[in-house]
Amino acid sequence: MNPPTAFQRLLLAGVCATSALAASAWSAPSQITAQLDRHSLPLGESAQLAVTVKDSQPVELNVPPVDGLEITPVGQQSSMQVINGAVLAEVRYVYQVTPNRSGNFTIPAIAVPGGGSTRPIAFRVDKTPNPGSSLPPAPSVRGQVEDAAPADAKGDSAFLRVMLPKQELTVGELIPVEIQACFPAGMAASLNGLPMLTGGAFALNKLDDNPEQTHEIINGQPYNVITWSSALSAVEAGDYPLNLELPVVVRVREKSKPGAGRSPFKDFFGDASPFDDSVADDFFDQVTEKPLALHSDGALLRIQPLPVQGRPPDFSGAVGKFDVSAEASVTRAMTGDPITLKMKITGQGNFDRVATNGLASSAGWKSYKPNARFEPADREGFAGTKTFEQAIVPTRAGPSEIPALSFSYFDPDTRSYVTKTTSPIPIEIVPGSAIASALVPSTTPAMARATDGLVPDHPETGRVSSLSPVVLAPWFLMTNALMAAATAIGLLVRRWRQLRANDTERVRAAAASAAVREAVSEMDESIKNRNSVGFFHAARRAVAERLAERWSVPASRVTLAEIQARLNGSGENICALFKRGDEVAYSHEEVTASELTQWRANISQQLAHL
Amino acid sequence: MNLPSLRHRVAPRRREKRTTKIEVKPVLFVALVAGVLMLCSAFAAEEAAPSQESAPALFNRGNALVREGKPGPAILAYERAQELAPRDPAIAVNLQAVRDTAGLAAPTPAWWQSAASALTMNEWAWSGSLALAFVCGAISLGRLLPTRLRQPVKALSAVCTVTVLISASALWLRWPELSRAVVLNSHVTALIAPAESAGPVFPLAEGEIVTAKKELRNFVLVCTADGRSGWVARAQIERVIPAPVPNRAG
Repeated sequence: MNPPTAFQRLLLAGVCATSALAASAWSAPSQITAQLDRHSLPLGESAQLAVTVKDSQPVELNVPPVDGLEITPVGQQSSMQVINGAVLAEVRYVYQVTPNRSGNFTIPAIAVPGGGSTRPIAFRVDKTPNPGSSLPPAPSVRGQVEDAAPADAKGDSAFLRVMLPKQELTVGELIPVEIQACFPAGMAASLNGLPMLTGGAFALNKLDDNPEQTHEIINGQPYNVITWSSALSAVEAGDYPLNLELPVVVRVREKSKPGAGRSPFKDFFGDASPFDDSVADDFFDQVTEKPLALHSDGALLRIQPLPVQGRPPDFSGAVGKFDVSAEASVTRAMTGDPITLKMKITGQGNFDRVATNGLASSAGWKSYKPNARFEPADREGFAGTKTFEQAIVPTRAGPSEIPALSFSYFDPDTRSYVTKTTSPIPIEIVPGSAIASALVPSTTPAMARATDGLVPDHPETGRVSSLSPVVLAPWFLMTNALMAAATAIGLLVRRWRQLRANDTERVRAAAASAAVREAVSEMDESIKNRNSVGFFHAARRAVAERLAERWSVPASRVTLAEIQARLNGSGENICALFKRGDEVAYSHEEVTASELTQWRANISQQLAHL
Repeated sequence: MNLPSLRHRVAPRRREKRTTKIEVKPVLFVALVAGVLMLCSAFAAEEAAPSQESAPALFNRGNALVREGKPGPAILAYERAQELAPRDPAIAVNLQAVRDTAGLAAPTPAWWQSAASALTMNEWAWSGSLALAFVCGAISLGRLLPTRLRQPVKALSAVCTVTVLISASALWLRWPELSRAVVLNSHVTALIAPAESAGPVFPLAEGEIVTAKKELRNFVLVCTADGRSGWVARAQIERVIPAPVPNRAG
């Protein structure tokens, strides 16, 4: 026996791997669901029951009999889908349920061997036909898949539909929306992205990456439905179509062209091949992936503008239905201590536009900008609670109350603005001071603290300044020192001048000296001009000024007799000067220049001596 | 004989002196230029000053450090925040809270120290400087003012003089704060000498406030609140005021 070739070894390994995968598939627990295409039906009509078993090979289901019902199997369908890379194998068993009488019925749980069981399904059978009992036909929102004619579609098309609670919106209004991508059972398709809006009049909240996957009977046909729940908001006023687009990739099977090639089974076994049938031909058909886009039907929505009339001043753009409440962190506080005021706005609507300035600063309260925190109550962020935390500081002691807070929004149902107001919060304010509370924190129960016992972070960044004090800066010290020194020097100079101005002796001596100098100058001028009278007049004046200063008498009192009396015979030269001056003055005698010069020298000597 | 009287000769000179004293425009111009230069230099120095911080940022940093389990750096951040914003009660509360958690005793300042801490050192310095400038201006240029304004200016000058004295006193009282430092790490031991091989003197707790007396190489001589002194490594403490501090004497 020849040893196995490399191809045979590879084939053997592939068979083993396939067997292992199949075994693991068999060992995995099966999931079974059952769905009736309607919850009530008139007597005489039939409903369709679809039982889906996931991750399972075809089995024989045992549907328990129900009194008054005929449950007849009408078909079985196996499919394998690849959605977002996940392989989903399932078998669908379809039964026709026909009631024999009216009343309430319950289809018991259906169990699968080695797996789970379905939930019991209850429904009602009416005697008279009920036009609203059956599911409404699915909107004709069909995508381009129709044109692609995917091989797995079995004649049905995938489509995208949008479920909206209403068709008329208001600018800013947020409404819940369900986007459903419906693929006929058996169609192999994978999503190539998330649904996107193609217009600019709407905004769509973030979509979940893991949408809900269900099975539904639509128009009597089973569909795999992928549902995204989100919220849609209107942006512009007017009539706009709601267009959404979903990129998908569909597997399309293309038939082998006649003569294009032979089946490998026919090549191996010849024309009498046991695999010469349509199944084998389908197996060798070429399957290609085609990227397509599903579009919604573009239902026209009317977006109404927000009315200008009656708009409250504090309206921030919130549209929906909200309730407002407020609470304070304490009921007793000290002046200067911050109190945390919480304002909770609960409801449904566009919480991104829910805003408030909180409590405004007033004579009794100093307030800071509030911080907001949103806690959604649903996955779409349509309902929830937005909490505004604001630090407020009482500035006046005494029994007081935190004033009522108001919040305004637009109610799209009543198409009117609504202002809701909280109740005033009574609080007792005791006297205190910021410094005292800072130094004695144990007496500050009102300080808003976090769970770790710390006062929370400051939201403001504050003014940036240097930690190093300015008194250490040389320029600051130098400037102030120069300023003080200049002023001190100025004060000293001014004082010195005052002292000099108040010294009468010094002032008189200075004045006398000045007068003497002036007289001597006149003497010199007179010598030049040969003015004898003027010379002796100036000479007498110079001597008189000097003697008057010496004797502390006015110059007018210095006469010849006074000189003779005071100098007691020692002032002969001075007396001679006075006599000679009188002679020249009365006789108008012309004195020679040499004599004047001699007198000049003599007088200078006398003045220096005096 | 009629000699000219002294009064008649002196009188014209007094008039001349009066005309020279009214020449004040250059003085005002110089004073204005000096003031502008002072303000410009002040702003330039403020911009170029090292360690620019804001009180809220330091406060938030302190909170973050507390949550990280670092009480020493947290106390340093709070102390610095308090230097910039002494009237913020939140800083004092968190500082006390972290001290309580770390088992550190809070300093109990006397009333005059508390009063001196009502303003920052910069606020004291600027208020004193502006008051001094007003007093100097009033003394130098007061005689040029109209008579009706002289009395109010005198009263204001008196107030400014008191302000200068109070500011100087507050700065003098707070001057030792410039040498304060915070122990950053746990298990810090003060040594008897500035050497790694020196013997231990006493342990220091993380976040404890000490006074840096002297620096030598990589060691700092610190003094605790109860008067004990020892040398610690420079990396184990950090001054609250990071700028180099001159001695009070000069």
